[in-house]
Amino acid sequence: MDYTVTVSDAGFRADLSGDLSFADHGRFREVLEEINKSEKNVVVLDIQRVSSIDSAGIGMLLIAAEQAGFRKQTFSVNKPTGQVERIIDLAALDKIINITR
Amino acid sequence: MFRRLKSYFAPSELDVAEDALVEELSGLDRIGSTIDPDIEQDIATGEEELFDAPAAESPAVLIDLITKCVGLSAAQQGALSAVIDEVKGTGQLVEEKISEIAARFQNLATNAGRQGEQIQEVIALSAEIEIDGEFLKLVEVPEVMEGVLEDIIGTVLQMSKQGLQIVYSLDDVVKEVSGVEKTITGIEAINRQTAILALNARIEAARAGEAGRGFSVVAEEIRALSKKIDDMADEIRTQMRRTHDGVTEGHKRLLKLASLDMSGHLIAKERLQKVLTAMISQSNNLSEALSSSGEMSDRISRDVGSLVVDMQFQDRAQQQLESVTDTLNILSDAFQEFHTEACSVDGIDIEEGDVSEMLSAIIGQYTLGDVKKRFIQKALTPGLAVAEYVAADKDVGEENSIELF
Repeated sequence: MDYTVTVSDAGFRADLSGDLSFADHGRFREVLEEINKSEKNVVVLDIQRVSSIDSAGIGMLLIAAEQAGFRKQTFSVNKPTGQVERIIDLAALDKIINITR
Repeated sequence: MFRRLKSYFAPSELDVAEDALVEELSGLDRIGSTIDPDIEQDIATGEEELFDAPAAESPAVLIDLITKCVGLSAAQQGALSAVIDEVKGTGQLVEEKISEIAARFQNLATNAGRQGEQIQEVIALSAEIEIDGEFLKLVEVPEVMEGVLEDIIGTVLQMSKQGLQIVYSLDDVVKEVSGVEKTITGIEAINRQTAILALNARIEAARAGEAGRGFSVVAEEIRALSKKIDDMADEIRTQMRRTHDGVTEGHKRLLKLASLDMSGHLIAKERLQKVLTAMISQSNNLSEALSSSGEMSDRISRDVGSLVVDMQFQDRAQQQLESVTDTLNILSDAFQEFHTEACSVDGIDIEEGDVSEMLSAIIGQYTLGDVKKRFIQKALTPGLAVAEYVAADKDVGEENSIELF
């Protein structure tokens, strides 16, 4: 997984790409630390360029959402596609996290 | 004809003969269509001989003609009697067979109705399943399973999240343990310097002689203290190494556990939903087919019931046959009356052979062997009852059962 972070007046935004699996949990923790450092009220993870995700990847998104909740931040995951969107739908993740299509 | 007869007979005798002939001819006209052409020819010949006979001929010729008429009348009576019994027997046969067929149709209607009820029971049974004593409608199964699957999926997601959180925590612990080892190394370095300082202090105290004796005691205490610190540092290092090894091993195991991909469970949910949907669809199709079959059974039951009602035509047909029989009986009585009156006239003597000859002519026209036999039995045995007729019919039917339509 790779990522780029953009911090602006609009809030914190991380564009993720590649696979989002357990092997990427170290890299994803960097994103979590970036979110902590930014101290913005709005946090967006854009995953439209994420090509695949597994249950650990879903767990990472849940941790990010929980962390944002502790900090009273507005959290959303943007534009899942393909296999990622299918897994998110099967997990009914939109009942827990704000998913923007 | 009667003008010529008046020259041979007294007026009273002629009136009797005239009435008898008029009645006979009237009867013949009524059943003219049923009389054999040869017999009609005989009648015509008889009339011709009767009317065209020369006035000068003797009464014996007329007596002979009247005798023929009487014989003809007897033959017609016998034939009528056979026809009456034939009609009665046919009516009785039709009634028996129609009753049997109606009973069978009634059974068919009843069975078709029961079949429809059983199909409805099957539909009702197939629409529900029993789970732990509770009945659940089949159409509600996907909804129930959806709830169960969502619980499973929720557990999977929580396990993934919690597993990662523990991994992150253990990552931190491993880092902290490494930090502690570095700290111990720092303590050991300081302790070594302290021990060197203590040694130097003892050397300097020895140079100072008596004045440095007290300082030497302090330096020895510092050395001893440094030794204790060094021992403690070794013990802490050993303990921390064991802790580090345990945490590292736990971290490795947790990584293996957390790296297990459970997204297969999510896909299994999708597959299971498809299977359930297909099962419900199949069940619905089966119910529709059964329902259609049940409706068909009901229609068959109703149609057969209507058929049984329609078969009551037999009652009307029987009444019509009885009406025909009554008419034929009247004709037969008229022939009998004519025969009796004619035979009372002097000189009229009917030979059995005369009648048999005419009957033979009628019998020769039959094409069905069983009917012919019954006609012979009845025409030559006038007293035969209907019951015997039916029995004879059965005997003949067994002998000649292939004579069907």
